[in-house]
Amino acid sequence: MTLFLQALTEGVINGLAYSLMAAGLTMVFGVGKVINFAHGELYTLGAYLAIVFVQTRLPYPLALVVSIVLVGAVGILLETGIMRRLVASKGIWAPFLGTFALSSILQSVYLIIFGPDPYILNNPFAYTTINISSITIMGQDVIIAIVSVISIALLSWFLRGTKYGIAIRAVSQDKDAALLMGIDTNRINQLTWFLGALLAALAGALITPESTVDPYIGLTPLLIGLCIVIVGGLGSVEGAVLAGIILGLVESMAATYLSPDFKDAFGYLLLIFILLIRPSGLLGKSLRRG
Amino acid sequence: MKRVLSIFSKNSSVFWIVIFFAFSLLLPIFVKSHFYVHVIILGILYAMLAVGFNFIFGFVGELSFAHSAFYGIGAYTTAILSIKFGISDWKAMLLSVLFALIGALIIGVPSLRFTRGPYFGIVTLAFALFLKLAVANGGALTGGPTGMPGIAGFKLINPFTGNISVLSTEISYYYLSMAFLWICLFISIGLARSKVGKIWIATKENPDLAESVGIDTFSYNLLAFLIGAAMAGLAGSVYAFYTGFVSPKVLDPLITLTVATMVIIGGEGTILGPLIGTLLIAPLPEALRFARGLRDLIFGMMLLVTIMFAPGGIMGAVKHYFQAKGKSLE
Repeated sequence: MTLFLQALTEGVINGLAYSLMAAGLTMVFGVGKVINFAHGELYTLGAYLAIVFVQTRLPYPLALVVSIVLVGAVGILLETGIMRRLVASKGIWAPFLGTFALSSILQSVYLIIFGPDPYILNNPFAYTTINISSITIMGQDVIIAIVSVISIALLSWFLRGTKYGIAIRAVSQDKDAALLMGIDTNRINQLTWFLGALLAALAGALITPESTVDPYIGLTPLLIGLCIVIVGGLGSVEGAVLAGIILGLVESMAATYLSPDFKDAFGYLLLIFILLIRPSGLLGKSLRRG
Repeated sequence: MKRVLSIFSKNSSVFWIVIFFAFSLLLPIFVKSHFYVHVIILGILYAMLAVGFNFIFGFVGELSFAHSAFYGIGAYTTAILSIKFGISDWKAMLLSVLFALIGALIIGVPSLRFTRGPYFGIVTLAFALFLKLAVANGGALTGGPTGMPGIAGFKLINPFTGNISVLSTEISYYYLSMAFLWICLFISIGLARSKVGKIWIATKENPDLAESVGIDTFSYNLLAFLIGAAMAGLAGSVYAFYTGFVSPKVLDPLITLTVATMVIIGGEGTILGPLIGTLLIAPLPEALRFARGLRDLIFGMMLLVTIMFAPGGIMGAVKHYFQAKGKSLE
């Protein structure tokens, strides 16, 4: 029973962190119809910047805020400088391949700047543990849980209750109609990329104190994010949160009761399976070519 | 200038084939350095991958990330047959192609039927990553993450005399891989000019319209996918025989990205495009092998710049030039 409760807690906390990744992906897809393959590299950048700022003796919470805002700005740059042009081009694969190229470029930039050796964030709180009856929770996990819940609540409020949030949802539903209603869709795209990059960086900066950072860590969270986004229904932030928690649970249960070695493999298999049983019909119109 | 450029036009392709053929036969006479021959052989294998990738990507218009998986299946089938079963002749090559085809059927049938565009890309990528992970954790059968050394050279059996010779020199592998590249090229040219090629173009231009005139687009797309997989499997097999060593690196999806870059820079959906792209890109990994970060950076930049500013690649730009020229002459 203790084992089960432990796996359950870890699953939910991992799932919350995953849904931060997925929320950004799903918003960027909803607004621009782009599957952002460089999302994992924004996660990595968030992690690197958090470490760099902590090393310059900024307190961890402040380092977190500064780094995610910076990564958000990088998101705006990528959208304005590159993605806008690719989305406007003819081939359906152009934006997809473009983000893939971006992912490769960013990875090598990190490799050149930070080197291949893993970075570690020294955060004393990460190693303290909290015991609730028989379950042990890492200090950093508590931070991840609290920050994730607050961020998701804020995001939900932003999308439902503010002018810009409603505009994002309007563009997701029907870009042309939104344009006719006087919404500046380019502006909304920028805003979405800012938020998406910010959320990815937040996930990266939150998880860093528990694991090491190298230029290639972005792939796994990206695939997890894609998986969640497709299960949860593209464009739906609430769906992403729910699916994120489900995947977190599945993984932690699989790692606890089956084999921790193949934890990633379960993710890939699940992704293939889900994509095949929930074909493009799920998205219908947005997938049509031409 | 027009006369110079007219050698690119359709009627002169026979001229080009003859030139390339003579060039491919005579190349080893001019290149003496072992290192350069090695780079050229790897380039030829990349060209086979690019020609195969062009079927699904250029002719059908679907972005498949599973190409590295078929290359890896071919390489590992050959390695396992050679090391565990002592088979290292044409049978090993045939089985490598066969296994690549089986892999292509397993992932291709459901994914081509149910998914399209980015979703097809994600399914095939997940397949490629899963396979790499499975091979890296494959234990004794695949040699795990360190790979399998000690693959015997290719046993060439002379069909007339029955003499067996084991290929070991670089030159022999140069001619072997070059012969296969020519076969792939002729298949590519033949199919592109046949009815099948026209059906692919129709499907790429407008899948719904193609279906409405009675074309079974799924079958034709699958055919393109399988042809590409077979060529990749063959290239993988030759690679394993040539280098005598395979590791999970042959399954890295980065190979697909490299090949996609070659096809896009050369010009997707054309016969010459993949070759031109390979000529430009293939020497880079060896030239920059000591600086992995720089290599990936250059690849990524080239890919990004091409799809942003010249989506048709070099061949697309040449065609564009001809069209502009034709109009101004009228």
